[in-house]
Amino acid sequence: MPVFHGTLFQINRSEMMRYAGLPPKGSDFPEALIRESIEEASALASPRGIWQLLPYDAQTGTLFGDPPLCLEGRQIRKHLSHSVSAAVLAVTAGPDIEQASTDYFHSGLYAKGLLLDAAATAITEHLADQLDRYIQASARRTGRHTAWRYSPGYGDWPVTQQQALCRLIHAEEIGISVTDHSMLLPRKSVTAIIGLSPCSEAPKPQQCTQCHLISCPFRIRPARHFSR
Amino acid sequence: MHLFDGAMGTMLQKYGLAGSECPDYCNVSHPDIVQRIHREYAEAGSEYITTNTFGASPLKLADYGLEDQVEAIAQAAVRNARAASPHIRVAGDIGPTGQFIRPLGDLSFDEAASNFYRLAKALADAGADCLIIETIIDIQEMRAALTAAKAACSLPVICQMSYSEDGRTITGTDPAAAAILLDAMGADVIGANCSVGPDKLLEAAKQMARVTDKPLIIQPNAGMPVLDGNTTRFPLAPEDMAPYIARFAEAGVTFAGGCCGTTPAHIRAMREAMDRLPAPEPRPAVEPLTAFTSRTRTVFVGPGHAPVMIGERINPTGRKKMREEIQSGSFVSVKKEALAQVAAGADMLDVNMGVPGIDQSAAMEKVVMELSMLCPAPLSIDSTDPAVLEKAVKIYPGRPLINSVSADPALMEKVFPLARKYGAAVLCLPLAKGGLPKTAEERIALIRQILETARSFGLRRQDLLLDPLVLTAASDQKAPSETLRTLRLYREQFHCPTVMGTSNVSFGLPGRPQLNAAFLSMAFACGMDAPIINPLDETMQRTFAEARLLLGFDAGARQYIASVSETPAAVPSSSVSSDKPVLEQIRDAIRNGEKEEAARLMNDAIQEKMSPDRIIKEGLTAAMTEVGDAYGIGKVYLPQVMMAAEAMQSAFSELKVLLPSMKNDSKGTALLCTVQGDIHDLGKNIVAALLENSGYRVIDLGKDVAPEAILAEAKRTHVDFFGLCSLMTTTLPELKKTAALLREHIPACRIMVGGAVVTPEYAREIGADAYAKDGVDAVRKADQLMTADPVSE
Repeated sequence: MPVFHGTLFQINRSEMMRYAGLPPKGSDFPEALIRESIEEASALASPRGIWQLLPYDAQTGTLFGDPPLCLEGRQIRKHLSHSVSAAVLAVTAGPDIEQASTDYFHSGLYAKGLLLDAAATAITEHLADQLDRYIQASARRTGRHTAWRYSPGYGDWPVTQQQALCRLIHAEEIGISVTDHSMLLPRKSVTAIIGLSPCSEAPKPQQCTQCHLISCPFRIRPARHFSR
Repeated sequence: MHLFDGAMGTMLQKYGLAGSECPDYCNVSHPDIVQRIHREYAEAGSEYITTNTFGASPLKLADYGLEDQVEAIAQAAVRNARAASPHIRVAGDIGPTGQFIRPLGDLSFDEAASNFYRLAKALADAGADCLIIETIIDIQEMRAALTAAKAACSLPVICQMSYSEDGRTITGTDPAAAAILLDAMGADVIGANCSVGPDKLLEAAKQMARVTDKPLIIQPNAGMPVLDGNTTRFPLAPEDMAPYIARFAEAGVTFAGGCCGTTPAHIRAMREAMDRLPAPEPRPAVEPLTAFTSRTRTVFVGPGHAPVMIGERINPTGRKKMREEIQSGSFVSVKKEALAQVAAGADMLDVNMGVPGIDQSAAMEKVVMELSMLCPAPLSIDSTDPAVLEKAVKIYPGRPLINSVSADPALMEKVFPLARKYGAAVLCLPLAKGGLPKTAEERIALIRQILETARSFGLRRQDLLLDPLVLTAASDQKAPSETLRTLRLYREQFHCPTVMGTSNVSFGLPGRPQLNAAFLSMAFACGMDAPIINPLDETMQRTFAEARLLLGFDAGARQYIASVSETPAAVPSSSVSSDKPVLEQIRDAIRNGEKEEAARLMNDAIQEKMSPDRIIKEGLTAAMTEVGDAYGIGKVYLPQVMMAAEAMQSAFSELKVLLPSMKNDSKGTALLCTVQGDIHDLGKNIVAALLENSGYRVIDLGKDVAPEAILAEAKRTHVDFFGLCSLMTTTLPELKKTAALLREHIPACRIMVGGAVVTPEYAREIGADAYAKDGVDAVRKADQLMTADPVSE
């Protein structure tokens, strides 16, 4: 399977602040704490990414990997309705940041723990974005267009397909495993699918308002991250 | 200007050869068609024909099981190209592996290099006139291919990177940075191909022309492809691309051609445009410039450029924690140190792995690899061991500084070829066997020797930086002035940029930061370009800001003013006014999350004979409630709530120290955990922190906890209520199961639930007594649970 582990330059600070529950501007929260958390998370991260391009049949919603996987969920199938192939990807920031965050909580440094966790999320997204951009660029060179990145748990795509998705791309090769309850380990990991189609009509990104998770703390509009 | 050819893949497709077959093997299986394509390009006016070997390296051929055919394909490919016309020159084509090199991918630099070596050698043996490495999207792959090509033969090597819409490669390198590095590594022609059409590549050419005198080559694609059914169309017609020839020529480009989507018709149109060009004017020479690059950044050093700050702190000498970590194979401290120095303004970072008892080569390789994807500042590799240096400069995806070489012939013989091969610059120290050179003249003589030797190994003026040798003022009072005199003589005689390790001057003396800063200011005035200093030292930061302004590199004094107006962030003064009554001060300190202040105020309150009960109730708890309420209406944010909780905790701890006999009344005991199968920790940690600082005793069982384990704990110790948390839809059933088990065995128990996917309705459905939407709400609901009947939403 192709791998692309990504770099840690330019972690998105305002996204990190949003994950921490801070507005990107207008709070007098100490700047140094935010910077130091991003630095620490970056120092602790072990970025890994893996992906594979697979044929996709939009009629049956089937990804032709080994073994083939029939996608469940009306919304993901609609999202990929123009796709003829799809890139399945997984990235992880590794397990160390999460442990450090928990350690901070246990030693009473709650804000640091919280900020470190938020920085880890921002790093994970940053890694997914880089792999996404690479896949997009590769697709464009062959005249294909990419659909917006979509992860299990978005819309009505059940996270229970996490295991099967990871199996398709051998996510274990970059140290990702899936628990019996369909959670990714390390927790700061993301799996996703990017549809490739010959037509330029890219489906519009989903909005928070279309998600069933109405109590999600990250629910904003318009937004890219409408589910966790 | 000279003309290359156009696309091969597009033409193979036209002649029905695109499909499942390996395109490179067509040289062997369909030489007639390949020769026909080459001939069409030659007839259209190409002077250079590129062999059909884009994917003929062993790693790519392995996709078709043809990795043993590299030499056969290369022979056939050069023969086919040669057959196009007796007048053409043959460029042996080398394309990317499709894999990333470590640490971006899993391919090692050596594996990549030996892959390219085999194809380069095969093409050279087959009689190619030059090699062309093209469509490379990561600078590290180009470095591997170029070193391999140079090792395989003595043919001229053309290096073409491919850039994205933002003008950089997909991994962040811009054309100028690539050109600086590839020029230093000995590429013969530098350029770009494919990418996003001629417009963007014209811009790339202009950038490259500003930093290198090497001939430039541009071979754009015919715009971005569009799929039309099963056919790929390219938007730019021959007449769209031909006008760019004049613009490329104006930008100083020597060679042009076409990439994906270009055809003999495009090449013919380019030929006609080229033939109409006026006689070329020589390109204005680029003043030799010394620059360092990382994958994403370029730092210029020397006269005409702002002083460059090289951070000295990645050095385990005298730093126990860093040394022990490196010994144990961890580089977390090193990485933090790197990022902190960059944040403090370091332009480059010196990296020293001088730890006794370890494999320094391996440590250097690991740390350079990690820093290369973490830190945008170019590196200075600090070692005099050629083996350590080689490991580092080989795998660094940029142009680093080698720190350092002295006038030791054996050392120079090893270090200079390394610098030449991998494109590094070298810091030259005027040292030789037989004692320290005391006078500037002795140093000049030694430097002259070093420079002559360096030139004999092919290094250029811009590859060499000079150190004036900083000796300590405590042992020889004339030493610093001699260093400064050396600097002035360097500037007059050699025109090379200068570097020095600054802090040695103050060794053994008091007031070192001030002395270092004074010396540095004097050195700047004498021509110092890139001192190695401690970027975290505020005195040094100030000296740098002053030097930038005084040397004319700070327009409008903007950076200087910013540096002066910045309040020192390290020691924030308390915003708590001491004019207020102490309880109010305590509340302010908690609200502002000021830990030290909150703790200090406990002492004040006790001095005023306040009862601990009153301090807690009217000071600490009242403030925490206020913070919670402000959070509820969106006036305060979660990290600020957590800081308030930290301040509260620190005040509590202080109270306990001051009044050891203080009764520690707890509001009740909460047992918290994330339910079985759920590995999320954060939300539960936040709830635990806030409950604890609101007067509850918290038993935190952690994450992924089996219902039976919760029950067992509840039987062992008294629990007033349970706080159960689930963050994923897949673990909601576990929440229900756990609540049911607790209810069955402890009918009177109180259960609070929460987590991203839990709703008040679900809480009711599973028979929970309370639902908390967040940590602050959890405290409120806990208070209600403890004082009243079970709460329902």
